[in-house]
Amino acid sequence: MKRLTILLTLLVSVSLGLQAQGLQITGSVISAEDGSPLPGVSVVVKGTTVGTVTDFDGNYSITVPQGANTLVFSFVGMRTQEVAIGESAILDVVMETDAVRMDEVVVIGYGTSTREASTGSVGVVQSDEIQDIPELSFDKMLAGKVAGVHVTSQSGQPGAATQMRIRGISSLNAGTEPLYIVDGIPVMSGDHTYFTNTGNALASINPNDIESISILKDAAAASIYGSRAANGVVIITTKSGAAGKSKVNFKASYGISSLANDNNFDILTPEQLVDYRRAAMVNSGMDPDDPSNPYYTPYSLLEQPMNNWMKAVTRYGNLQDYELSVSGGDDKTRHYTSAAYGNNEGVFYGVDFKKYQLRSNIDHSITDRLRMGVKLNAYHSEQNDVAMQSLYYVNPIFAACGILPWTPIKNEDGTYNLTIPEWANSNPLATAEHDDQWEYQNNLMGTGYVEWEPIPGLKFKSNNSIKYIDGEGRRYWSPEADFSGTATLQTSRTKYRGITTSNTATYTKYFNNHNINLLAGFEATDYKENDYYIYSRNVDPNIPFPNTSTAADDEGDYGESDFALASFFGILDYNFDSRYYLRASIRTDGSSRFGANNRWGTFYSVGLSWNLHNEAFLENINAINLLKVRASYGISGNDRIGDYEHWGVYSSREYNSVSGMAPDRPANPDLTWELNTSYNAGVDFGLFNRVTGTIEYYYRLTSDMLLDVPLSYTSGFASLRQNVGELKNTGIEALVNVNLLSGTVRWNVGANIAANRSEILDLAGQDEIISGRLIHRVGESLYNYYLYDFAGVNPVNGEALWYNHPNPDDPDEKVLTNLYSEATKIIAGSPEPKILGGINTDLSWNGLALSINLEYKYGNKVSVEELHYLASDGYWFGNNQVNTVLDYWKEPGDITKTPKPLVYNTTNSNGYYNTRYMYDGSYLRIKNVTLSYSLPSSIVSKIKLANLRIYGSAVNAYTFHNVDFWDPERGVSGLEFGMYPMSKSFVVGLDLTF
Amino acid sequence: MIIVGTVALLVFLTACEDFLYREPRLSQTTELTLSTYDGLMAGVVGGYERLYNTFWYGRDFVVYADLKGGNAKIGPISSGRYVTEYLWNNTPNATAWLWQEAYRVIARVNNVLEVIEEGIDEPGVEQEDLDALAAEAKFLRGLAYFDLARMFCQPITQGAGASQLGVPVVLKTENAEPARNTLGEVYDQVVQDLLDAEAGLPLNPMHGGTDPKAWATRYAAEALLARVYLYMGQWQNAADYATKVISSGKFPVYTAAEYTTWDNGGVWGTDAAPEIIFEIYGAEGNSSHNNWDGLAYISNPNGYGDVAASRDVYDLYEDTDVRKALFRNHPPDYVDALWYLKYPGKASVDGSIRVENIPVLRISEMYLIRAEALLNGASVSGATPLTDVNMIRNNRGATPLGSVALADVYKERRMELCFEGHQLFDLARTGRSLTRTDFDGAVNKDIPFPDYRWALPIPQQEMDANENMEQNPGY
Repeated sequence: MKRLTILLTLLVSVSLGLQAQGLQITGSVISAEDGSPLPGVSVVVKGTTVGTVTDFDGNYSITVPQGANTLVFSFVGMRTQEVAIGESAILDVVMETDAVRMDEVVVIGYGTSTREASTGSVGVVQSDEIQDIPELSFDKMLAGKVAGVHVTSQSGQPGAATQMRIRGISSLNAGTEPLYIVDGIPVMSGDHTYFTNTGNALASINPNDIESISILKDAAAASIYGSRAANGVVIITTKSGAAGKSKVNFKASYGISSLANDNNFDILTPEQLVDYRRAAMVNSGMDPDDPSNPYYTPYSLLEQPMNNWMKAVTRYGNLQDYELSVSGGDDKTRHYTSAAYGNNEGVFYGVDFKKYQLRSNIDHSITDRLRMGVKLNAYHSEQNDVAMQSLYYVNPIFAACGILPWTPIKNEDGTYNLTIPEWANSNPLATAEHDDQWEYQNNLMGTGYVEWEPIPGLKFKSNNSIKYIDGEGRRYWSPEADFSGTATLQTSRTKYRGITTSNTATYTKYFNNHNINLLAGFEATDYKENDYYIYSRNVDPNIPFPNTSTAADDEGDYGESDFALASFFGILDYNFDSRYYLRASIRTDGSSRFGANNRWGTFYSVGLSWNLHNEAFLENINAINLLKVRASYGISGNDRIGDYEHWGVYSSREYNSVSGMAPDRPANPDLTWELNTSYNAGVDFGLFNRVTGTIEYYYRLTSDMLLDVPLSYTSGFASLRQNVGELKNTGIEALVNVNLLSGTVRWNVGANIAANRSEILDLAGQDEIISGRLIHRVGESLYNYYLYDFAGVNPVNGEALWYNHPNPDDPDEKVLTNLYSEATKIIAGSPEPKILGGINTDLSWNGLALSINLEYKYGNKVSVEELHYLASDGYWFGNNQVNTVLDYWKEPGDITKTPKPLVYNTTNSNGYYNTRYMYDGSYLRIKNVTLSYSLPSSIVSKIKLANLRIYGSAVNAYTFHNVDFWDPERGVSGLEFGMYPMSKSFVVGLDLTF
Repeated sequence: MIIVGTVALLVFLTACEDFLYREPRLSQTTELTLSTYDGLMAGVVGGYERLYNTFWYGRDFVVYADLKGGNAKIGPISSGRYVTEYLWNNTPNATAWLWQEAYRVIARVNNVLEVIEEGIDEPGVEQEDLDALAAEAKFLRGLAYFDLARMFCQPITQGAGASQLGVPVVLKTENAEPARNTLGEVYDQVVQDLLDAEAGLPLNPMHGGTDPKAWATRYAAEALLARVYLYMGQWQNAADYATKVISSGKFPVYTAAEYTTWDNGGVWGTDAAPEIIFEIYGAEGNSSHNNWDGLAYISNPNGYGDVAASRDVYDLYEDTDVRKALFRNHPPDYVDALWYLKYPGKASVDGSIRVENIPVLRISEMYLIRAEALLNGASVSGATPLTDVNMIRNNRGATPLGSVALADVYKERRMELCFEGHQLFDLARTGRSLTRTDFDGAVNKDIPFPDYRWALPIPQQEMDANENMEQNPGY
């Protein structure tokens, strides 16, 4: 050890000594556009890591080593310049705007690259593209922003989990979410709550703390993350301070939200309901005006006081967000600190989400060769909701559709009416007010790094992190909202913690136009979680905590899980003369989730690119700024399975008050990750310094796909999860950005489009797997709805008609029948969009800026099974219905999709799982519109401000769609039931910098 | 230097392997569970646990035998459950899930037996403890194979007998695709397991719990052997084993006064009633608790009520017979319909019809087994078929018979054991056709014997997953 220290000290002193012999160069950097000085421009001696940045006045000073002949000047948004070092010790530089953003730094796995240098497929979103969008978490802001990235959700609730699918869906039984990396460390995504309908661990990251988001889509970019990379990787880099004057930024925004309903979906008005019920009675041979009939429905019903239950359970939600950030630094230390508070009240009573946040990022240079930094994020969230996402009677959206308009909301004494016979005596408003369902979480993440550069070009970095989540949950059924008057309580306590160490060594070498960058690394992650749960019957409503329930009425339970990952990896980056690029990566992962026979696995990738614009034959064609062709191939894995699935385990059983043990599943020491083999080919182009774009083709093959393979029952088990299936996703992506105007008026337009096709290749010898409303069949796309074939309404008598397909091999052969029991299920369409993408435009003039983002999906189906109850042709005669039924069959000759209603219809015209309730889920959404105005600097400087900006922003402003529901978005599979629909919000905000 | 580096690397990689070894602590690995006597004991209790499952004694197995046997019928309250069985329309896609459950229990006890045969070395554990545990495991295995053979095979006493298709006899559970053994081989295994059980089981239960008769004892092994020999036509063995149980004197025949529901002071709905030799204990605490999918709920008009009683069995009783009072109707809607009351809810849980005990072996059957065996040529000193049959009739308020023929024994079995899962198998083993008078259905009112349908089809999933599996003829 001692010897090593001496060696290293020697190396350091040698390198320092070398540097001391160099030449001092000074100069200033200004913008070509207005001649203003440019602070923060990076100045680097080409081929070395020797560099500095310009100060607040655009000046720099650098000592260059002997033999160096070129300085490289780079700055975000400017074209990088290489300037030869001559005899003069002064070099002044004028930098030009780079509309093509060729030199934009792109964060990739374990390092950075540029658009020009990248060999893989990486989608980048910068902080300025998301800064004004009033969403709680960054993931929601990505919808429509990156080609091939499908961002959706199963719930519109504030704080809901996001589903992100990159280039299709890669698996049936393993996870399909990408890996999220924040500042080099993997973090949890998805729902980690206990009682609430949904939750989003990614909400712990304040979107305004984010500098950039990179989405790694192909193997060349992603497979360095090995067994976790199959679904793509999302890399988040948080903000750092910059040397110079401290910058203080204050943001405040306030807004309202309401249910998105751009297709006039609603419950029936009282008049419509009475007409509908009377029609049902007539159709059933009854006289609606006969008082002796138990279903007597006279028009006089309408003379009672009426309630609009939908209006009663909803409100204007409200959104507030306040945050303060301070950043700055000097030569040695840079800092960024932010604090934020947000409160989002949902459109349903009882639903809200509050968050408190604090971040501090500090980078410090101990010496020129030794740097360290700490990034700390503290987060507290309070999420309240009511039971939704299922057909609970207390689900407000379901209740509001079903409770009759003449049912009172409150009793005369002001208490809630709990006598609602048509709704199991459940009043959603009483529940929202008196019952609890919540999750409070504390979330801490700390990351610290040390970086040492013993000699120029060689860097060692150790990045280490602790992440901790502490969650407390409560579900309380109060006597006030319960017809039976009892108080029941459930409480939970959950804890997650992850520790990661990531250590890399990089070596950069530049000689004779050869650029080499080598990286070797070791990483380990240890993850544990556990939860405690108490179920307390009959608590004292005055002290509604577990302590007031008797010992016999308190039941406890416990759960836990842990997992570990160890990895070794390496990357080779090579380019020759900025023309030919090669990136090769390899990673060996060992995972505790896999059986002894397959615990370790190796993943690799190769990416190649050729910058044609740097070739001599294109050098003189000024129209072409960038022309690059690239191709990649690689293999990555999917480790998203339960922590202990390879173990054969026994767990406890009870018989005759004696506890026993029985096997849960057989051991499977061969269990291993699903493999994702990916090919990618693409062209990047930049033309006329105005137009940039990319066209890509990919092919992804999932092999060793985990499936439950049926076993002979003589084995004691019905099935064993094995790595046997195969699935492919192929697609084309294109994006184009056009800088239409760049003078006083600036106008950018961008669009992206992606088409993906999935196909199941092998289901381990089975032809198909049916799971509920979905079917997975060999030769078809991954997901398909499998529904009874509704054939419309018989124009003669108003009855529902169905198709029976007598020959399973010939789907076109069909026989009409009026019996649901004779209907056949068919492959009715896929919830996977055939095409998806976005269109973005930014227009600005003298401080006024307008940005519009559209998001679209085409060719996906959604199954709105709620309508089985809510458009039920009289099957739910005793309840209200939705206006989908209004076009019901009225007289012979009517051509309609909605059968005639009957009193307590038992004809199954509303039969479960039928194509009548399936819709084309295509939509075009005005996802976000922001209008902002920055006061001229002449005015703001008078009030001692650097910047003052006001803005208004809308989310989900309008959606063009054709689904009989509030909103067409229903998550990846479109199977949600009783879901919280998406909402739209409008916000105004203020942004102050001084 | 290279050596030091290699050693360091090896140490590091070993540390990695330790780091990557994560065990599920809330459940146990198979090896750990079965490494101690207590663990093996728990493994056997885990075997019992599945008997209460809906697909076996919890409901289906018992209901099938009585619905297909003509004792029960689909009544006026029908949700569509069991219509297939009532109409004898079973296909490989709608067959008995006993197949799955029985092999699950066989796997559980095979795992235990495998370890016991290899032997464990644990201080304080004697070989006789292990032998007793093995005997209990074998009792469960014998019962499972016997029930599989009854459900999925033709009777061994009819047609081609022992050479007919049996079920795969699996004594070491593994992930394999075994072919079917002959029916003779299956019965040989059942007999061998039960003889071993008889030899090793103590007279008193080996576990605690609420209901002492819900565990196998030597008497249970002997009683089950008596029935198995009866099914095999080994009359002398059947008579001898029935006699062993009867002469123990531990199991008095219910009196006429006792033969009613618990709420009337009777035995039906109580735990460990006098006649019971072995029963399945029902409780909400059982892991296999069926909630609403149990025997009581399906046969009670206040529950699902799908499975009603047929007048074909009701009309067999004299008015003085207490067994005739074990039926009910359901006014005001269903005055003429009948449901049976052998599962009237449990006394211990205020009559909840979501739990029930299911009698598997009781003493009345032993008398009737002996009577049938004696009429077929067996002899037991001091026993006659007439006294055995009248032993039952005298305790039921029925007129004693003056003479007895096989048909009388069959009829008495039906009257005594109806709704306890016997009638279908009794018809089959004696080669009698099914004739139904009180029948509400369009097809298959009567089923002749022989017919391929007396054996249920092997489940399609087994056919698909097991290349060596042979389907029963006819399906």
